[in-house]
Amino acid sequence: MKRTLAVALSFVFFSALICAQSGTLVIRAGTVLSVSGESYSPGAILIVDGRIAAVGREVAEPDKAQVLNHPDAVVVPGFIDAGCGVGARRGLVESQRAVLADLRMADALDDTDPAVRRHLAAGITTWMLLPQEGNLLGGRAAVLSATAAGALKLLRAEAGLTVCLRESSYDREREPTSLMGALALIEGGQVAAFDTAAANDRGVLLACQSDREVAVALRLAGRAKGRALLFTTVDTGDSATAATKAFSGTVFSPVLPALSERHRAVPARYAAGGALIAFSTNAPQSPASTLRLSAVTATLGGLSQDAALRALTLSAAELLGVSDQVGSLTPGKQGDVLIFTKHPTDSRAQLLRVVQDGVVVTASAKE
Amino acid sequence: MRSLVLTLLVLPCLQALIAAQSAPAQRLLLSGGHVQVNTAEAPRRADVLIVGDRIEAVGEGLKAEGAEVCDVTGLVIAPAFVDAANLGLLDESAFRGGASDLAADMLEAHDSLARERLNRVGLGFVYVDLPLMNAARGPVGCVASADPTAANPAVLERLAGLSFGIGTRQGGEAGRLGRSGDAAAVGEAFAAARRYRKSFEKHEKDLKEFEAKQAKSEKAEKSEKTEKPEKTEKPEKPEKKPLPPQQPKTEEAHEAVLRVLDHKTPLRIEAHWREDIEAALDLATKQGLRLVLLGGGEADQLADKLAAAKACVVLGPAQPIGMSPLQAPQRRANVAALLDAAGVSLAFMSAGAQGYRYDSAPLIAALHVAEGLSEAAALRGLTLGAAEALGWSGRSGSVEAGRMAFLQIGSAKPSLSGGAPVKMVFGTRVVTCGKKSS
Repeated sequence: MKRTLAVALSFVFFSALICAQSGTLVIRAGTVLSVSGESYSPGAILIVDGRIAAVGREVAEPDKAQVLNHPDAVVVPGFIDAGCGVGARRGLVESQRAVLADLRMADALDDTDPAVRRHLAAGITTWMLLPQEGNLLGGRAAVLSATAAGALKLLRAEAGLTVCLRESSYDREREPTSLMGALALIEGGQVAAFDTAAANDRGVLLACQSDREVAVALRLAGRAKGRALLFTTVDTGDSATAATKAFSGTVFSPVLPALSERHRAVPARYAAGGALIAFSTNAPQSPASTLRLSAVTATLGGLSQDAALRALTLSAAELLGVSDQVGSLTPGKQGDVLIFTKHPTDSRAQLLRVVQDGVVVTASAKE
Repeated sequence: MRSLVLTLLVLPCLQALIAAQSAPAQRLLLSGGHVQVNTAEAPRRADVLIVGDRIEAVGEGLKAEGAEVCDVTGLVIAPAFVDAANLGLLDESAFRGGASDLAADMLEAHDSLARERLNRVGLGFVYVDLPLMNAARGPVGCVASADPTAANPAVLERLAGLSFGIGTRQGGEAGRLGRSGDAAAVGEAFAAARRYRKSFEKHEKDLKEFEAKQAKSEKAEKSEKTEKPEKTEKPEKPEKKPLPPQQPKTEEAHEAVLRVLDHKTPLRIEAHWREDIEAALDLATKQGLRLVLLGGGEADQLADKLAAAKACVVLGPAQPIGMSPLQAPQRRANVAALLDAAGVSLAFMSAGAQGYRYDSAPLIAALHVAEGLSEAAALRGLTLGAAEALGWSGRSGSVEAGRMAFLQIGSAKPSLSGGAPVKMVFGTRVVTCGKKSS
């Protein structure tokens, strides 16, 4: 009898513990910005087993659910870094060969990378892992997410073939030695991997940093029949109109406050043309905080707060091909939620809580 | 002939007219607005009378005959923001090692754009610092106005401070001298300035002695002349007159250190690591000086000591971009909140903040709010806190009679949300932001 009672009691205890840890979470806040559709003031979200179950002005509160009440806060989806090297082993550049098309970043994951924890603390719950620069074709990118414990999980194992048109890809010791050489190699059909990637749903990721390089990328985008994503800097403002039509979207390297008004306004120029835009951190070279800082700076340059938030979340998810899993507060998506004191593109906004997969990871947010 | 006379008569009149138009009035009344005395208080209905560069009176229904009246009905008058260390007004030579030891001599002439940019975020004046250039002792900084209407930035205080660095140098020089060498270099600068002062004191004493001697010998000469009648013989070769003692050369770098030692300007030391901050505090305590700590990455670890010493900490970005490993790896993003909680006076600076522009002090303050600092404390840091860091307490940072008239006027009280002021006030000159002066 005693034994049965002990078993029953421990069952109840563990059920409650599991429910509190990963089972059910209700977040009530002053404002809930779903990004994909409606916003609610006040609003609430129900997350069950790591997935968003309901979003609205009010949600049902299951028994024993963990409840977070933030009546003055703004709740948004977890941020997405559209390009970085977080969670990968180093030393993946092969200097003797320009083409490393078969390198899969999904095979080079490193759970122990301390940058994963820093990303999570900055509210970046999903990111695109890019190969290191140094090869014309650097390999195939992957889209990752972290678990609350800091482990890595793949959302998309092959998210595109990286084609680096920047100077770092050229080498006097091997082909190509110049931008025109790179173009000749690809257009001459000598790099079959380009056409293969362009033909399937992975597409190509074209990295540039000048208008001259974007001009070459535009030609390659034509060859890829539009399955091309542009990675660039704010130095390519003059290409905004052409790029909007040719690429599926544009990912900007960190947009920092040091920039001039003209450069700060470049993301707004791309967005005004109807392009999907997103930001990248290039971490670990830059700190994770540069993702939100890019959005803040872009709003100083004229990008609307809504467009900047979209660039941090849903637009990035669409460009990375994971919008069915993350990027907005929509039922069925991953329970990645950030709780801010203000709209996240307000420079003063403080990140109060990071919820990853329905689990609160606040403790790491302020360390 | 007639036309010449006419021209001569008309010309001075025209000149006077142009001068009257370009020079601001000596008295200015800001009428119909609401005044936020300091950033902690709510705006209340009041007019502001400015005479010269100072606020004469603040109150309702002020009358000022002959004063220029600026109608600011519906607007809020608040103290202008201050950047406690800025590099934006310097010319290029300052970054190439500098032609001078003084920031005031290296201000960019005829570049009003930089000052207009400062105005757009509410900055009224800045402490112009200079890069330390990998040395323990930096050049002499100045306080300069952000008034964009003058051809050159107006210098409000020429010898406003001298920045030292402890543990900030990189490479072989740092290895050779070590951190204790930095602290010793600060001590040496103090000793050299005291020797410099003594040389003047000695000169003064020598000069008095010389003058006394001269007076005595002249008297003796006179009495000799009256006693002995003049000889008609060939005059003797005149005796070589002794020269007065030579005055020592004035060196403004030493003068700036003496101003620190005389408590006229605070002791500014850049330090990031705990042990370096401790060394800076120790130095300031031994000399009986108030410390203004620049950077202060690990300052939160010594928050209580800094508060007890009434030190002021001037902070750069909460999450620096591209920070060198020398600059405190143990830095916590919420360092400002921790210092504020301990009662340490805070200010903000854009100098040395990689990835940030020279008009970023309000943005840097806002990003500290994002890390937990209260907005009230951040706004204080941009006004009264900055005044304390410059040794300007009682002179600026609030809208009160007797304070310098550096004001921002906006449709609401100043905040850190990126809203731009409508007008800036520099003494009796009103500048519409984005336009030329009115």
